[in-house]
Amino acid sequence: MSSDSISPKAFYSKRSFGYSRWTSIPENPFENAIILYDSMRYFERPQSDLEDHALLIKISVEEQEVKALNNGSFYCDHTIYLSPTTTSFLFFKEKDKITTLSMSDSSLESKVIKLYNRQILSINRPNDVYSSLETNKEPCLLNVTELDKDWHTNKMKGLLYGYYIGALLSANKKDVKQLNTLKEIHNIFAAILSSFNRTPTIQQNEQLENLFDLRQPKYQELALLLNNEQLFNTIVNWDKKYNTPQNSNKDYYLSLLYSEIKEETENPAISWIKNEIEKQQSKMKVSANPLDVFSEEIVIVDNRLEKCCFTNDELGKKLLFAWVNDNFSRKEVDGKINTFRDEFAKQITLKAKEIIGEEDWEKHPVRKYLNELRHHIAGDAFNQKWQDGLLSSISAVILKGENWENLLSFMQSKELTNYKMAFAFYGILNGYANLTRDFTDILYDYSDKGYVWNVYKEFYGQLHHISLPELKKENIQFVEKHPEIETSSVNNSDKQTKEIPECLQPVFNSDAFKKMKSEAQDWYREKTLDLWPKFGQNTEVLISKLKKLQSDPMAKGKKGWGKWKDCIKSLEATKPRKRSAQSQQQGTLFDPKQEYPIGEYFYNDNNVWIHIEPIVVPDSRKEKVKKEIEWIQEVHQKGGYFLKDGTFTECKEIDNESVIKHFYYNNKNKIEEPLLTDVCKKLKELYHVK
Amino acid sequence: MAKKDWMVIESELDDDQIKVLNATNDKSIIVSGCAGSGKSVLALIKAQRIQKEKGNNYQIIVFTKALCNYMNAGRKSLGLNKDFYYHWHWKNRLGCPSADYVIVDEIQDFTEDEITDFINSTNKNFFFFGDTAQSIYEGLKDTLPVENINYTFHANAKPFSLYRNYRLPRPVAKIVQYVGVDLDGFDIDTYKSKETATPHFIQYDSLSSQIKAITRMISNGNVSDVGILLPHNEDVKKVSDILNTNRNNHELKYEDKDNWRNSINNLDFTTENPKVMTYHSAKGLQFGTVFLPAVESCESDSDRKALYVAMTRTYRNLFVMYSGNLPFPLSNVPRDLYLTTEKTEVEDI
Repeated sequence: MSSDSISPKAFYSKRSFGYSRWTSIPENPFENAIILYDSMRYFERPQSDLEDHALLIKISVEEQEVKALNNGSFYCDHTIYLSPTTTSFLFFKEKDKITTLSMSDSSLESKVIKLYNRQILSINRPNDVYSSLETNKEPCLLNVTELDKDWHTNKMKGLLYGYYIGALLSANKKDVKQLNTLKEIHNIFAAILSSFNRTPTIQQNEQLENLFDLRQPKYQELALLLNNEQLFNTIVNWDKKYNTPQNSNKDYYLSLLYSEIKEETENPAISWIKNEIEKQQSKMKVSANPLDVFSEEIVIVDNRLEKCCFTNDELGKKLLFAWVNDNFSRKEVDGKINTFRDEFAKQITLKAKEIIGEEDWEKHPVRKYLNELRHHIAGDAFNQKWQDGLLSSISAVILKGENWENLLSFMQSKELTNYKMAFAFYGILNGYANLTRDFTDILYDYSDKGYVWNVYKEFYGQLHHISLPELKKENIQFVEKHPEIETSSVNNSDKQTKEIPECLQPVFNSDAFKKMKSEAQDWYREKTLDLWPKFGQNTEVLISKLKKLQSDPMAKGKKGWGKWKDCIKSLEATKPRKRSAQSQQQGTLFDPKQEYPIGEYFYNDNNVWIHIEPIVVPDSRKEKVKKEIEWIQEVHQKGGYFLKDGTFTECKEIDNESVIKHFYYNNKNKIEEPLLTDVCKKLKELYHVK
Repeated sequence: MAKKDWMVIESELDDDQIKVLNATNDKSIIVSGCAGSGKSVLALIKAQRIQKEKGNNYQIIVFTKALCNYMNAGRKSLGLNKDFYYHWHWKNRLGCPSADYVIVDEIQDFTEDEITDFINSTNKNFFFFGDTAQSIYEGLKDTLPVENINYTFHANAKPFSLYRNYRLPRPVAKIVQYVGVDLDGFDIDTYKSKETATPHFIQYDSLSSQIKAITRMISNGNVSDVGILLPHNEDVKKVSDILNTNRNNHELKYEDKDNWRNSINNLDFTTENPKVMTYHSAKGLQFGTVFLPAVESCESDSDRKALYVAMTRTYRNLFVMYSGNLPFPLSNVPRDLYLTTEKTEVEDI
């Protein structure tokens, strides 16, 4: 589950990545080969104080991959790459399955379990029992060539995952700046809270003033426009001198910081800023821009990087390909960068010198940059400019690539916005098997499961030259719930007669579309139906692609662009505002209750609405109930609220019973019965209040 | 941002850790392990498994509030529903509530009576994690050695031992052998961290220069996840004043024994601020970079034991800083085991 594959036992201990501790059992005794049986039979493990459960893996393999042994058994001397379409994990007892899955929860390496969830099953005990193989003699020698190939495949798989996940983590400058502002406020608040007199120093006060200014939209815009801190501060001070300053709420949150609270409760100002940071991070996550799978932006052939569009300049490309294929692919470059960063920085500098040439090297800016990086690793300051590009990407990984969160946080602190290459380097550095689950989940948890499947399929094709089947269009979003696979795809010749998906009906039934000329109608319909299979599961991406049809060279001469914009509006009107609990149940790989577990306290539980929403009917009341829940949570997080006359009403009781009671009385005249009672009943049930 | 992984990478676990991980939840266990052996992570994983397989009827208790805050930072990673308690709160505020499963970390810091409370509050099984060698409350309270728990309470819990240290880098491990008191024989193979940074012992002309150097290294971006650990409470106050003068945000952990209202204990492990505290307060915590300014004031044997605890808080870099002479026992550390400058020389290519 860490490498999405199964290998002969000896491979695990010899290939220097992934899990290496396996115990042989009589039913599977060989070191150099995987034993396969042609049918399902029963076996069991002895009773023990340690967890030890029987598991069968059901796979389908090509005949040429295996060799016959005896009595319906076969062996395979190389790694078999698994896929959710051809593999099942079978337990003989439900308890064994639950325990095994529960134990896998704490495993950072077991990352693909969620892709196989539907294929992990407990089954009735089969009648046949495994008979002994009657031999313990190894059927083959260790396949060293395959072992080496495995190692390279693992590295390149890491590179691909890193590049695509880097695209999902990339952000725009405004959001990154805002996140940095919030983190800085958090740092200062925490510093004040644990200082001797819990009072900001003069410098902290000034810093906070500036940071809260930066939360105002007009100053956010100004900061982006100017991109010059000194000039920005001058203009802000000038603006504040002549215009009435907007209330930045700084003093309010500082007052919360000073408030006396129970020792075991988090300070409300800290709760507020942590919540703001989480909100900003969620916002950035939602606006992630996935890499187009069909754009061939990065291509691996025979375990070497063959194409990458990250940089367009010739030298950049040469450096990138050489670093990936020569430096990062060396066996000693494995994982923990901080244990060899000085030597690695030296190696990439030497490689750059080799590529640039002795003659040009002396005065080349790349020389200056990389040598300064090496001095920085040895303890000096680093004065090179951080900007989106190859040099900053490789520097970030060398300096902070020990784990992905530090790397992301570091790049954000430097206001970098394009993280594709840095995370590709991070991926190849670690190799896929050693990438942790929290990292790969960024891709696997992406809301558009059709996209996830397409990426998985693309990687499988590039690395193993195997074409996985397409998913049925109607099932594309829930790989796990309805995994029926169809191997045929839509025939290109029948575009005219293609069925229009239900969610596109508003476009083609709109008045605007009907008013278009038939030639334009045909063209836009055909283009839309071409885009639908690729982006249909993400309405926002689909809409953005439809809007771009205007710039399609073939659109020239097709009058009706204005009307087409109106058609898109009809689609925008149907766009879901947020993921609802209902849509998750229908459309994700996971049970929402598992994905969004209820917290211990109602007042700070971000997941509560997911659980409440389904009981709020009619839909028209959802917004109101949600708003009131959010309000009650906010005032309890802040410790109270201001009345219109300026007096502060405290909300000190944060136990679930008190908060639900407060919610009830606050909404007696706002939410009608029996809805209010139903909501409170559900809240009590969720938070175990009698 | 201070960060710790609370999940496991199986490929990096040793056989002893695997045994603890694979132990069933249907029997009480006592895990004894050295510093950095991964006890706290295994304790949280036990909680995660119990939650998944048996429901929410469990509780996790630790000795100090700082450790409690620290472990709470791992709660989210593991999706644990229950808050963690520090002992004082669990006993005095909550009145020793019972639960089917009770998990206690740093069990070596508790007295027999306190452990009795834990066992009495356990409906089904308990899971104790600790290490007698790490108890630094000698003379302050009468703690019960971990290995005596089964005998004292006729508990019949399955014992496990963890011998390998995954936190302490080998270069630091070699040095602390000269500092610790009554240590077991030194075996470098028990230290599994792959970190290679050589520790620094650097002389400065004053405490103020030491703090300026720390500030410089932090602002250069050479170090992160910083702990500044000091011998005595009054040093914490001094260092905080200097950091404020240098405009450096930082967080304090400070105990005022004369007036508890002046004590500060709000460390936030999700910020990037350096954490400033005494050696004693740092127990159970870990930092990417540990600065030990003012070591010249370590004089007594109890200072020495606490200094050992402080030096072993790092999982990457260690900077020992002093003015005047390097005190005993640090003066006995062979010169080739540490660097005496902040930077190393690098030749341009």
